[in-house]
Amino acid sequence: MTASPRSPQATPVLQVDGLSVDFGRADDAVRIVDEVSFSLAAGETLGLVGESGCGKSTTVLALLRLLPPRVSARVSGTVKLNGDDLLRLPEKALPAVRGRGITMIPQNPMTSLNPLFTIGRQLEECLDGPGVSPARRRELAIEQLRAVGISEPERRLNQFPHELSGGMRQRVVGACVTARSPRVLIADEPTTALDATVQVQYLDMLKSLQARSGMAMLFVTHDIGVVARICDRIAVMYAGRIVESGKVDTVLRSPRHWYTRALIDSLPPLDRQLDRLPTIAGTLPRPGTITEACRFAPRCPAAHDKCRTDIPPAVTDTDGHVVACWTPREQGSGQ
Amino acid sequence: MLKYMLRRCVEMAGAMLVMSLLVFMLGRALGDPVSLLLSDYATAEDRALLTQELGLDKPLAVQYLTFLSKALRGDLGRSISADRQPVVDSVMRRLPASLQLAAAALLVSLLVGIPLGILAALRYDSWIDHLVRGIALVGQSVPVFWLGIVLMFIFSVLLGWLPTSGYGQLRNIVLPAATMSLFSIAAVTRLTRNSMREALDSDYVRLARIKGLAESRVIWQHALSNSLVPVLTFMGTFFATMITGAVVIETVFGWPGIGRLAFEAILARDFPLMQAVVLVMTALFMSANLAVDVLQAWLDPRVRL
Ligand SMILES: Nc1ncnc2c1ncn2[C@@H]1O[C@H](COP(=O)(O)OP(=O)(O)OP(=O)(O)O)[C@@H](O)[C@H]1O
Ligand code: SF4
Ligand SMILES: [Mg+2]
Repeated sequence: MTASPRSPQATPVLQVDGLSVDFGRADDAVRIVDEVSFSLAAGETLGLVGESGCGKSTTVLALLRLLPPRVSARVSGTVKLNGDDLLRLPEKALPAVRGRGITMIPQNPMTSLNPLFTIGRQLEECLDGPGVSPARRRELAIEQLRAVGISEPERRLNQFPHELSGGMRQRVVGACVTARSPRVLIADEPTTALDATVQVQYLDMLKSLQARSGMAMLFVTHDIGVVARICDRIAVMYAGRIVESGKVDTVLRSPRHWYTRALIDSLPPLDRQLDRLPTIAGTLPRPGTITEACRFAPRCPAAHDKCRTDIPPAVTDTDGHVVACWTPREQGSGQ
Repeated sequence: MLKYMLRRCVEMAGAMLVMSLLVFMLGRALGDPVSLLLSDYATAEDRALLTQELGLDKPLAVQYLTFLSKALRGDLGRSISADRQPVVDSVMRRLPASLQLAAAALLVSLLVGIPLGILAALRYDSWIDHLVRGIALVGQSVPVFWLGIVLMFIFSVLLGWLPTSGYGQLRNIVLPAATMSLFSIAAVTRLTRNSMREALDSDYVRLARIKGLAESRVIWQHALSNSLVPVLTFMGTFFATMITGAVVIETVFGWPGIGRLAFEAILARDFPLMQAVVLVMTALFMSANLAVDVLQAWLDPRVRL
C-alpha cells in the first residue's frame, strides 16, 4: 500500500499559515481570527471546534475569500491550496478555484438554494463546461443527486427548493458544492438545523462522498461528539486562536489545554441523564479586549500572572500534539 | 399555473361587482338624478315622466340589477351635457391617450429605475450610491402637479424645446410622461437597490459563488432575478399612483385622456360620465394588477401555490 492519506507525512492539499482576520477600519479594527495555522492532507478530516462566536465561520469564509465586503475585513497570512496562495489570487481567478479546488457547505444550507430556480438548474450550472452536452449534464446531475442519497432524482430536478424537506435541501447543497470533485470540502456546522437521526445520515453521506473522491474535509462544529465520530484530527479554537490540536484520540483522551478539558467536561455523559449540563463558567472575551495574554485566563482554573501578560506560544510534541498554554495539564492525567 | 390564473380572474370579477355596487350606491346617495337632468323650469309631470323613464320608481335592488345588466352590455347611460352622448363612447375615445401615457411612464420608470438601482447596489456606499439615493429621495417627495409645472416652465417656457400641451406627436408625450414617471423612477430605483443589496448578501448568492460560478452569472442571474420580485410587486401600487396622477397630469398638460375627462366630468357635474370613468379606471387597475400577479407567479414559483 502507498502512503496512507491519513499519515501526517503526506503533503498537505491545504496549508494555512498565520491566518488573521481584522474587522473594521484601520484605527478601530478588531482581531477576530488570530494567527491560525493548520494543514489538511488528501482524504483527511480535521474538526475545528469551539464555542459559538469564537471565529470558526470567519476563519473558513476567509479561506474562500467570501467574507462579506460590508464588514471591511482585512485578511493576512497565507492559504496555500496545492501550492497557490488563495489570499493573493486576483478576484477574477477565484471562480476557477472555488467549487473545484476548495468548496464549502455554508452554515445555513436551508436558505442557500435560490428560491426561484429549479434544483436541476442549480445543480447543472455547476456541471457545465466546454464539451458537456445538456443531456450529459442532466445525467451527471442525476448521478450527483444519487450520490448524496436523494430519492427519485429525475423528479427532483424539476422541483423548486420550497418543495423539498429541510434535510433534502441540505443534501442538494452538498450535491452542488461537490459536483466538480473538489480537493477540499469545508463543512460549517452543516447539521445543526437537522434532527438527530437526519444528522447522522447526513454525516454518513459526507463520509461516503469523501471516500469516493478522496477529498480533504474541514469539519466545523461545536459538537465534540461529532468530531469523535468522523474526524482524524481536531483543532480547538478559543476566541480566534487555536489553543490545541492533534489526533482526535490523543486530544480527546488526554487534553492538555485547560479549555479543551473544560469543553470535554461539559459533554453530557453517555451513561446517565443530567438535569443540567455542566457549563464552562464565564463567557468568551469580547473580541479585541484581550491581546497580550492568554485569552482563556479569565476562565482558567490554573491561570497565573504570566498568563495575563504574555501570549502562550504553540508547542508541538513528538506526536504532533500542539498546545498553546504556559502550564499545560500533565499528559495522561485523565480525570 | 392555469388554476392560479382562473382563481385570480374569479376574484377580480367579484371585486368588480363590489365596485359597481359602490358606484351605484354613491350615485343614489349623492342626490336625485332627476333634478340634475332637468332644468329648473320643469313641471311636476316632466319629473314624473323622467322618474319613470329612468326606472327610479322601482325598488333599489331592481334598479341595481338593471344598472348591472346594462353595464355588462356596455351601456352606462348618457352624458347630461347638451350632446347627450353615451358615456361609454366618450370614455373609449379618450382611453388610448391615457394608455399611451401610462405605457410610456411605465417603460421609462423600469428602464431608468432598474439600472440605476442595480448600479447603486453594486457600487454600494460609493458616491454613485449616495447620489442615486439622494435623487430617489427627492423624486419620491416632490408633488406631481408642482413637478409638472416646473418641468413645463423650464422646457417649454424658458428653453422652448417642448410644447406645453398637445397630443399626437412624440414630442407631446415627453413632459407628461416624465412628470408621471418621476415618482415611480425614484421608487423603482430604491426598491431595486435595496432588494439587490439584500440579494447580494444572501445565502444563495454566497452559495453561487462557492459553486465557482462566474461573477457575471452570480449577479445577473441569481441576484437580479430575486431583486426583481419586489419591483414587480410594487408595480401594482404603481398603477394606483398612475391613475390618480393621470387626473392631475392630463389636466396640467392638456392631455386628452380619461384623467382629464374625469376632471371635466366633475366640473360639469356630469354624474353618468363620472360613473363610467370610475368604473373603467377600476377595471383597468384590476387588469393591470392581474397582469402583475401573473408575471409574479411566472417569476416566483412560491406564489403559484
Ligand atoms: N459581519 C460581522 N460584523 C461584525 N462582527 C462579526 C461579523 N461576523 C462575525 N462577527 C464577529 O466575529 C466573531 C466570530 O464570529 P463567527 O461567526 O466566526 O463565530 P463562529 O465560531 O462561527 O460562531 P457560531 O458557532 O455561532 O457559528 C463574533 O464575535 C462575531 O460577533
Ligand atoms: S496559558 Fe494560563 S490561563 Fe491560559 S490556559 Fe494555560 S494555564 Fe490557563
Ligand atoms: Mg459559525
